Amino acid sequence: MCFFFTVLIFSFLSSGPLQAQSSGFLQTTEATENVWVFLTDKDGVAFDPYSFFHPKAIERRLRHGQDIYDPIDFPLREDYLAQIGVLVDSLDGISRWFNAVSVFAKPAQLALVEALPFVDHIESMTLNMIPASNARGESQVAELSSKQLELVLAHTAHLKGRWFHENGYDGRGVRIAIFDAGFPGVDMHPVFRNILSENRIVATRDFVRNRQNVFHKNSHGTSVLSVIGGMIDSIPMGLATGAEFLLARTETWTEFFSEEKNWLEAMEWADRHGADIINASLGYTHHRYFPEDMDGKSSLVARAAAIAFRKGILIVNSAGNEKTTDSWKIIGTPADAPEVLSVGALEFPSMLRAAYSSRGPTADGRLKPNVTALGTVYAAARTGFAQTEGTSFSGPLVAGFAACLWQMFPEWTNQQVFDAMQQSATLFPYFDYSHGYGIPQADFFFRDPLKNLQPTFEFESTKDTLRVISRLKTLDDISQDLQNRYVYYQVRDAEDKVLEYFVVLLEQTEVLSFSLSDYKPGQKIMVHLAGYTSSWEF
Amino acid sequence: MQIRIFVVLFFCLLAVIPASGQKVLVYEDLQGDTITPDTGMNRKHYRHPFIGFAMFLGGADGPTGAIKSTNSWVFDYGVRYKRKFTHFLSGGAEWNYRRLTYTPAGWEIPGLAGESELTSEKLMLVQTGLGLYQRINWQKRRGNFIGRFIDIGVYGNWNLASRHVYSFKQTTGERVKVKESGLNYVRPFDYGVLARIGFGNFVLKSTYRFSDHFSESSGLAEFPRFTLGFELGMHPF
Repeated sequence: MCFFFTVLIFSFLSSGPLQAQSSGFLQTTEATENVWVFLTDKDGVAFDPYSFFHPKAIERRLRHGQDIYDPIDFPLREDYLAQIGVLVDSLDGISRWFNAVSVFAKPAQLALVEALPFVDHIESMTLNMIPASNARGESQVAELSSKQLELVLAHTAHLKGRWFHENGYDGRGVRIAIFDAGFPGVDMHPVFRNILSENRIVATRDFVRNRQNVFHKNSHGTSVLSVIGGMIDSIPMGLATGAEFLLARTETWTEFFSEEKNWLEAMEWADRHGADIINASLGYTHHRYFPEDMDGKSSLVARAAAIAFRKGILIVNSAGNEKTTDSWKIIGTPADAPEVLSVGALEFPSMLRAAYSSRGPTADGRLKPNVTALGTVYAAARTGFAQTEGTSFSGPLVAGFAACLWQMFPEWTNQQVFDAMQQSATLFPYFDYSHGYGIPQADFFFRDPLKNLQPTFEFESTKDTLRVISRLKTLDDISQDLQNRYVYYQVRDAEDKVLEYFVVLLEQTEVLSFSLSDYKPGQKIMVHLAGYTSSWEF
Repeated sequence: MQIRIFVVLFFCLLAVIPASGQKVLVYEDLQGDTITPDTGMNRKHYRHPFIGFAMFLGGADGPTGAIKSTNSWVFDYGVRYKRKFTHFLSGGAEWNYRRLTYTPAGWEIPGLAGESELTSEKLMLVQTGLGLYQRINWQKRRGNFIGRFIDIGVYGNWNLASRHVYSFKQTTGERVKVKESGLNYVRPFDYGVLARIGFGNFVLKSTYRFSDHFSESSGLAEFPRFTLGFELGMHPF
């Protein structure tokens, strides 16, 4: 008993953050911290963009009007790093974009570092990043049943993906970077045969172990890649079956730990290797932040996302699975950044927001998530397939959509792709903070679905009542699309701030009824039904 | 007959009147979003249950205070309230229920015949009490979670029950088990100081007891006063 207890104590002490690092200038018993040290300048460093960047990265910069000699890409000063290296236990990584070096050091050592004239400030590092998936834990199967196949077909069908495929768009020439927890089986699994046979995994990097091989550890990344570009025989699991991929392992352990450092390094690595799109199914929430910090400016990763966006990269980030977490509910970061296309999850087959999918708005009142897609998928596992769910998978489906769109309009900037995806979505211009603008629709780019759109409802007011009357005569008029049976509406105050929103099922001609005495002058009702949006001011 | 006609007419009427209820599939009220909550792991107020286990350390005050440390422990559980003062400083109070089990190594059992063999012996105390503590969190940037902390504080406990249980084998081979409750040589109150170091849910804790367990008239030396153990805070990770 005592032995067991002693072992527990020592294992506790040895695994905790109090563990002393093995080397260093100051040997003390204080706790070692992992922090970012931000430097003041990069004066005098040499930089050759043509040897540093992949040609695609240079081409992207030029297309977005960016200077390829941007000081933000310059390396850190070696003499600064050498001086810091002497004072701390170890140097752990660097960020060119933030002119910062990650170090392990004790408080006394950090005091010496902070006193150096070229050190701007020090920030502690976040250790807990939460992947946005809820693995169902279903047994893996080698082949899909017809029901499972139905779900696989829905991956692309709900985005009207056949419009891309029938017109020859599969993301070819677009480079997608995926940040995840590991990609075991990607080098063997038959769903990736199309990618492997054409050598379209152009670079890999394990930022946790600092090596090239990423085909190990957690299979979350394998599932994510499959719903972007995998194929079951001739059936696409995602839309970007012709894209090129950069695979980065950034998480240290399944479902819990990761490091901000890995994320930042991976982002700079993806930029350097010419990524057009970054898909990340991760987010920071309560371990470092409060919901009121989700303003798109407070977190380092949100600021990094802004830099990447400025360089022309489209970042697709899962909204998060925190809706049912009482202390959080809303999107995490970097999904809070205005430059990030945040994607919420839908249930199958209802195509309404999933109960777990984090909602908006951001702390400063901006719309998030931007769009939504299926969160329940049948994805590749380490071997075989598994049903899984989470905004982790709605993000990749949308990333695949973006790749096809960019292939179709290669001259577009990332902002144009971002805006067009929102405009193509099922609810646009209506939005709510669970569904964003709805589901991006590929047919929007081939025909104008709004061209012949007639109003589907009208407002009728009497002395004391406002009614919304459907113009759809019978439910048969509404088509088989379930989306067209949902009435989305919201109540806004006089300052146009959304107070509450609803989705109700269309079951009768009189869709909605409001007692005028319940609303103040200036308040508005905005309603969306079957592609048509209109509002009424009290 | 008339009633039957009315019933038929009533159901006919129901059939032609369309239903007026709405089936609400999604509803969100955002008006509470701007209110910063008061309650949370790193908010103004927070409380959570905990469960812990500790063992006794250190020397006894005399020969009769010796215990078999491998067979002596404290098991406790309770509820802790935390009040945040600043980002780094908080404090609070806790209620706990404790069971202390000692295996004395130096007690003489009165009346035990010289040839009899003592096979087991335990002194058990059941306590409830309160603690007050001050907490320092040293993480500069911390969201809404417990984080890493050091607590120092005081505690006071009241003995709800005390029991001395021992069994022995007589020279005849017969086994005898004796239970004595409501021990008059055990003092009713305990008090001492506590210290904890925590990493989220996992806490290493220690207490030092200032008070004596046993009355002076008992002539018993005090058992070890230090405890060292683990605690699991039952709150989200």
